[in-house]
Amino acid sequence: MRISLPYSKKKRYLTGMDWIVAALDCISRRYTGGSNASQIVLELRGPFDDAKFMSAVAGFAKMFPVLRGRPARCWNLAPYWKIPRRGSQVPVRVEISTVSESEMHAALEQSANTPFTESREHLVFRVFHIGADRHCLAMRFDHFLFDARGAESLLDIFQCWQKGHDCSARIDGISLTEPAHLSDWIKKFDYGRLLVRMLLELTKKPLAVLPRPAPLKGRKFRFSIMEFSEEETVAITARAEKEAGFMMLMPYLLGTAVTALHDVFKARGCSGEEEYVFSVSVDLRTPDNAKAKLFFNNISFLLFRIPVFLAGDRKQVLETLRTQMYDQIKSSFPLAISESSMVMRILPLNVFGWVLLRPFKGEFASCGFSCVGKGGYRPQKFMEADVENLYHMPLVPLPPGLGFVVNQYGKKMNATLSFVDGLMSREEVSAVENRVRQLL
Amino acid sequence: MCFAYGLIAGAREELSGSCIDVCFFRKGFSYMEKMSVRDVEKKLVEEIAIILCSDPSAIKPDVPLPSLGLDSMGFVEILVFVEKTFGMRLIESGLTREDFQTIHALASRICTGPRS
Repeated sequence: MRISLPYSKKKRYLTGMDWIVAALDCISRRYTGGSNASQIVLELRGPFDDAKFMSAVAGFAKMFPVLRGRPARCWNLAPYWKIPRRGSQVPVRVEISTVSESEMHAALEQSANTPFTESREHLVFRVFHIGADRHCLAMRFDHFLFDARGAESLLDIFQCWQKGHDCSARIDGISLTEPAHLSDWIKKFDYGRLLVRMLLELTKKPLAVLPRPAPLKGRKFRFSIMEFSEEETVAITARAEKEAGFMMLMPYLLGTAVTALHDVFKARGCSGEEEYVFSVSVDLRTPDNAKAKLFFNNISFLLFRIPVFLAGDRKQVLETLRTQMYDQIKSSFPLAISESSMVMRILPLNVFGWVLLRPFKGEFASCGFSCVGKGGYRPQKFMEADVENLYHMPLVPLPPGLGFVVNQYGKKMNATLSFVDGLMSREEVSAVENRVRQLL
Repeated sequence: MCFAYGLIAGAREELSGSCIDVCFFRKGFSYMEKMSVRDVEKKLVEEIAIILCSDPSAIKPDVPLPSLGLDSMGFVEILVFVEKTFGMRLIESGLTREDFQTIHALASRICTGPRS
């Protein structure tokens, strides 16, 4: 029997957060048949050479055999990502098609919902030509291998590399090693105890959720993209500071999502006895290590509870969000999740998925929320074309199958509402869009 | 005159790229020391360097906090540090730009003490 040694170039131990992401993938597959994946969209204007792009992708992918990896278990029972040896084939699919302006959104939705064709495929590019100088690039990626910011950074390196700039130091600096995290058990169990206490506190009141449509199998995700101009983004940032406080943009945007979605929940009969729980993914990278931590999941979660009776009053919502964020960071809640989940890696994914849904009796949260950190993709061009905008289209794991993602590209802000088909009606989505614009 | 009281004994553990405070703030008068704005600034620079995983010498006290690369999370981490170290819960204050714009402004705010 062959025993793999730690820090082998062919393996990267998975962290507890990677295992949570993988378990959410497992749950999503069980419910809808879809996976825990996401898509970055670049709106481009200018010349775009398909052949050059395909050739560049093929050459670039060769440098990252990790893109063709798969999860496996080590002799010490820790899960790891099995990386093919350098020089092995790393085909990354690139699909080219032409669509009209009116078909664009549907094509992007279709792209986000189209599953990977095999278990070792984790990345697909799709180019949509709308006209001679208008294009959309969609990069669909597996959340097992990238989080949102990591995926943006991959595109950033790709652009740097294909322009012929020397990126060797940057590429060599990408970390593909991770310890097995099989020590400090007492600390991990202590964090586990802290986490359980906080979850017990969170689950005292019934969770407000939108009823899931039936049957769920085969249901696709729908997206509503809200783009904000440079002027609107400046105004939003100024209002965030005025209403939520200095550097409190994330709580402000979250508060807006809570208040906007509250109308839909209320109309569906959510009572004042219930509470919303918003799971917010937070980036654990620092500006210094962001370039090295490109692959896998460098995130954790904050869980915010908002009583239904309070959710209509944004001032109070912002106040409670700010206090909860402070208290959770003070009690190291994000760290408690990432550390205690290391212990749970012993569980097979389907069992871990079941455990994740236990605290809320089969639910996970009322809604997911994410504010993607700035600066993952910085260039103003992609290939030779100008980048007009960049936004995310995530398939939010089900439950809840409902999520809000905010990102900033350059000076523009985008908000994406993602939901499983049938969870919200067209009128409700339109009402949420209007409410968000009105509140921001 | 500054009335901020300093961290007496501190230890910090690096955990998977994130940090956890295990600082021991003792309230015994014998351990307390008066700190100047400059001392508070130094402590804040050290903490921000840890949050950003960067070199303290690269962090200038008069540079706006957002341009250091801090986001809402990082900013709240600083506020938590201030509470654990100086005993001031600033999250409940107005969080105005004037008080938090730079490390120097924050240090001055800490030294001024809680507002009524």
